Amino acid sequence: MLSRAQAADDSQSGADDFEAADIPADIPAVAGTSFKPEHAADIERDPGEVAWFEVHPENYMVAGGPRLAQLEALRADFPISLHGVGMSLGTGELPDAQHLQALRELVNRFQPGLVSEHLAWSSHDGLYLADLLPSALTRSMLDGVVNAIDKTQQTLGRQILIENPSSYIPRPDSWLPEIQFLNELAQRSGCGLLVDVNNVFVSAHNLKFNANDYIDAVPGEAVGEIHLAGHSVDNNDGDPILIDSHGATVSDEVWALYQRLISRIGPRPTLVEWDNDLPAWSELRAEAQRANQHIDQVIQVQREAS
Amino acid sequence: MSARPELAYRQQFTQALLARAADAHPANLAPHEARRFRVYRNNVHTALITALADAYPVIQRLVGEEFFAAMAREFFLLEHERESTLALYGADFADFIEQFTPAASLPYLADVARLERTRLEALHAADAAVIDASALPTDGEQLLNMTFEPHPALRLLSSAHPVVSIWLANQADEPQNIITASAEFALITRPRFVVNTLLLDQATGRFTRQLMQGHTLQQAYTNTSSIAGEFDIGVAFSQLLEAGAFTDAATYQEDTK
Amino acid sequence: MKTQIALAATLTAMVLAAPMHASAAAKEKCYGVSLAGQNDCAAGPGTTCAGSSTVDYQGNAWTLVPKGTCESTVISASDGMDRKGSLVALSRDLP
Repeated sequence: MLSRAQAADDSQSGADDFEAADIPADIPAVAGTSFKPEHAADIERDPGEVAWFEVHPENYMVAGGPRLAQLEALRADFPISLHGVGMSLGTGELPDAQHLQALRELVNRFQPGLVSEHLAWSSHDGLYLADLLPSALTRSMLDGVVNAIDKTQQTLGRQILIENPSSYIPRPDSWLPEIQFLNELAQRSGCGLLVDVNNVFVSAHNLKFNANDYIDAVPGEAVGEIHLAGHSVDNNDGDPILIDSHGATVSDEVWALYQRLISRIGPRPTLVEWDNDLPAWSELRAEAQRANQHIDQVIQVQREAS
Repeated sequence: MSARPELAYRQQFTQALLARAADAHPANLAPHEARRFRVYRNNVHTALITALADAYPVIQRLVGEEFFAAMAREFFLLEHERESTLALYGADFADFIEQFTPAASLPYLADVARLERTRLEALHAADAAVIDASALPTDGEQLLNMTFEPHPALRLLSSAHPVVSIWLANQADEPQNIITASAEFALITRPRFVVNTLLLDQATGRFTRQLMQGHTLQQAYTNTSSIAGEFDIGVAFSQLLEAGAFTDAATYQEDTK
Repeated sequence: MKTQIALAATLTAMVLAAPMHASAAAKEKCYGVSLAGQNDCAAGPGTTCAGSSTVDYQGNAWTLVPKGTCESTVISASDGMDRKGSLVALSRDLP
């Protein structure tokens, strides 16, 4: 695993024009952030400690134009991760062939260090619903999602990571616990896991389970990436729930859960997500720096122990 | 493969997401769970309305946010299929607006939407280098016998309404609010990363369409001037060159066509 | 009808005068931040009711009228009659 210093060196070796060999694809076990076009100029001026960036591939499934050019410029300086929201793997049916092909083209072109998707569905009968909807966590669904991931990994010729979504509605008792579902998914399909610590916290509050228990049950060897984000509280007519809004700083409780996770499994590439009420780049950068401080602590403790 | 109960669950969920009633929810939920279902419903509706508003900012400005959101919702509730990428979402929005009775008071609205759509398509069209004007023959007679390859982002839109003037007026903070009623041609190009929106006069608009159809400069001029009267071919052609309309030129070979 | 020679002359003059296309010449760094239609994985902004429950108009019950810049936009017609973009003002143009 790379040390923080090595990771920083990697991020500074970028050439002006993108060539696949210039910048390594591999994403170091340090902090990255969502890439937002609004931040492009500021990132170029001062990326700070941010060593990698994540984008949604769906936003780049176009023939040409500024978006692709901008991603190419970013990739010339940093490793990137493609984090899908449109594959709808949580239907348990095979992914749309056209969508998968478009993703394959982006993977070949941009050589992302990580490719991920969600344990969720977002399309029904060819109708995209633009949200990550809760999958039925049944045994037969597990078979279907394993097949869908198999197909995806075969087509892309690489492993993908699967993320736990945020949940709002209690699940029937007959469903498998989410972390058990994900664990079996990883074992059977060979996919990795993307642990969204904020989603664990939000779901634990909304569905009344213990977030620490969930975090402690995460199979460390399968984890390829961690997500952090801010949430908001919604009164919901007297039944307060947490909303995964990606529009605020990471909460203290989520930082504590994050620390708990990486203390046990070790540092991982860690993404600070921000989508709504986008802050100045300096604020997002500062959140990434805070994640790096947690990683430093863990490295320090590991060093002292050995 | 996934069994029937999981499919039925998704079907119910989807129906409730797209029901008109704001408190719609799948049947099997307890009352407090049903209230929480609104999070998903809200996400779906907000995401699609926002995607349309991002694609049609001038339409939103013209009709206001509240009207736009309501109109957008009527639009997406009628959709039977929707791609999982939102970059080019809303291709049929102008056709919908044209049939949408509450917007009938604004007869130009559908065509302004068509202009915004055209710009969006140009934005995401394939990249290509524009023709190098200095490489063209300087002999006018030779030029007249040439055809020109349209750039992948090149679009031409004609409207019975002053759509370019309305669109331009709504780019400013304080829209200029007196616009002369007239038919307008819009030329959309994207030579590199920035989309250009140009107002063409009627003759130049028709002339451009002829060139896009593969006619030579001479043919395009003849066909246009017979309808639109004489116009300055030099000015018209250099306007197109400067806008980045073409990627290549070829001398017309009569026997190979 | 202009002669071919006259057409050729005006074309030659314009092509000779045409500047190298600006965007082809310059190394354009501005991508023009266009955010049209973005997918993301966040929950919608704000509350559970922001998108769905505020607006519920349909069919005959539709009571909204356009209230944006169209209200102040005047399409000045060639017959000298100005047509304003509001519902009332334009109803005379409808069949």
